[in-house]
Amino acid sequence: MYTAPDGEQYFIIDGHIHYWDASKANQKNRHGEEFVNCFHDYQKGLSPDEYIWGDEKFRNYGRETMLDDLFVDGYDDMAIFQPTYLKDFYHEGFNTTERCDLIKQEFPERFILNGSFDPRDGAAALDYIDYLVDDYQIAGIKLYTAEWKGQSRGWSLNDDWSYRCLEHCQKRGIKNIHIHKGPTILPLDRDAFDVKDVDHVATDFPELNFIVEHIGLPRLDDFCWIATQEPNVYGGMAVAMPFVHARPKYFGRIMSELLFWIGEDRILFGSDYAIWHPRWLVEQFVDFQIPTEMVEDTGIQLTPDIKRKVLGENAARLYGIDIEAKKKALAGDAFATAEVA
Amino acid sequence: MNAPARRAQAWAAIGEVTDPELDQSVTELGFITEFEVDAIRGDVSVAYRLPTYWCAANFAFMMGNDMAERLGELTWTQHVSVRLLDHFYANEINRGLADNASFQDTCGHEASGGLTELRATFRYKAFMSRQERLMGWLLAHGVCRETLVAWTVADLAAYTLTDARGLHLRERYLAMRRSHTPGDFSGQGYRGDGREIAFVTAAGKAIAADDLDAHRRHIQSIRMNSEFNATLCSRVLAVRQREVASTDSAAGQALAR
Repeated sequence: MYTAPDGEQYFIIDGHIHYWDASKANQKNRHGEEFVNCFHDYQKGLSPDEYIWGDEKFRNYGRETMLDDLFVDGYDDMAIFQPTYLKDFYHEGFNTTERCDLIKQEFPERFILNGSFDPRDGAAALDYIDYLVDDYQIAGIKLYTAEWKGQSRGWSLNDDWSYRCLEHCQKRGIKNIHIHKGPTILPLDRDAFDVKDVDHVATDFPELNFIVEHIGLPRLDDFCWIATQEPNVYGGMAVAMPFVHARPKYFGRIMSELLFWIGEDRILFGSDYAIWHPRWLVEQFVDFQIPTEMVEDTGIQLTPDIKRKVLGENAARLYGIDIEAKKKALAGDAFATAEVA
Repeated sequence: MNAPARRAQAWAAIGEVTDPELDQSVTELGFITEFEVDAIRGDVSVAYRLPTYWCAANFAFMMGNDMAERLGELTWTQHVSVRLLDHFYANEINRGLADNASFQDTCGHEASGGLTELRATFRYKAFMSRQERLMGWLLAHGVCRETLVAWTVADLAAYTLTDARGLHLRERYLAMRRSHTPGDFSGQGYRGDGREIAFVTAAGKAIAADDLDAHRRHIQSIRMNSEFNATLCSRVLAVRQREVASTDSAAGQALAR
């Protein structure tokens, strides 16, 4: 829970976090090192100085650090694990459902656990979805279309097995599909950040919700267009959030566009922890106002009520969380006590 | 032409190449980490490094290929070498650049066609972003909408500007407006006579003063996308450059001298 200096309160569901192990020991090859370096460069390039970590910590920050950063030092009330497997780069994977589940088991009230599938596994992907639903009770799915696998350097939501997997998710009662778009690199002659495949699956699976991470950037216009047409398409703010600090005016334009096109009910906060720390993101987002000249131009404002939706209420609706009941359930746990202390 | 002049000419030639996503020169972006010119033999050797190991392979290839082409067009060059450093697809791309192969041949089964369409897409985006920036600047500096939409290319070129920013934006826009057939971004040669309308839609149509806001709103979204990548790339590049600053290749500016 975050209480702003003006007394407004915000229940925070962090829609996008990772619990990764990118340590040297887990790296399979150079790509593993370069992948985590790229994340680390994002942290260094877009965070306030005091939130920049050393190499070792960034590669493997561990359980204690994460719990503290999210729930004690940070204001998250709940957080959603969005796994990213990358088994071609890391022996045990980068951030798997199984790994995240270890923490989720300890603090079931604090975490939402999502799974993942890879349609290139064919029929085995369907079995894997069953396994995740039966053994891990996953609440949603996170897909990473730019993941490498053997000779393949990525896949499309429109692929045949992708459709079968989505059908299977629907059958097994999973409703929320988070999609991380690229940079996909196959086929190499196409636009790497294209989001148009989202349009087709959103039309063909009206019962599923598709949450497009980093709001389709750098194809925000295409994303807004698709989301305007398809009521089951949402925007995840991961990666776009830190622009509130790095480029506030630009961030104002992003928020204006999103609110204009898709409205306040379909935007979800996400820190992308451990790339960015939720503490400063929440503080700065709550403090943020769309610049006056932009408001005069568009009439669009970012009010506390809208911020409450983005920071928690929209995710609560998607994941069936009763915020008032949740507040009570969390009130006495170890983190709530630590916050007070 | 003496050796320093050839060196300067070669640097200017690669400076014409832009990052397709960012629409900024590869030399201004600091991508060039090695630049060797043997003016007598006519050999030019260039190495470039992108902001991350994961920059899209097609963009990486396009930039290398364009640099090799620009250098090859100089009358005195004999052997041109362009190499990509520290990139997941560097081996394949460097093989392709060395063999002067097409993108399709370079990538084999991993690409399903050439880059013509993609290039046209990025020319269109660059055209629109440059137009949006220049229009925004002119409107904010006293040009009224009715005048703006009625201007021919010659009117725009003749308009008195003293501000460096304004001059820069105009130069960049005119460079594209003068070299593209209205509505066609395939890159075919085109020379206007100056009498065509300066500010046109992607289809090459004039814009009514009343439609200007809607038109700008549309093209602003294109600019917003490139700004996202530009910010991310420049921040990440700054981090990377700080970290390789110990090597003599870090400062792109110094290479031009």
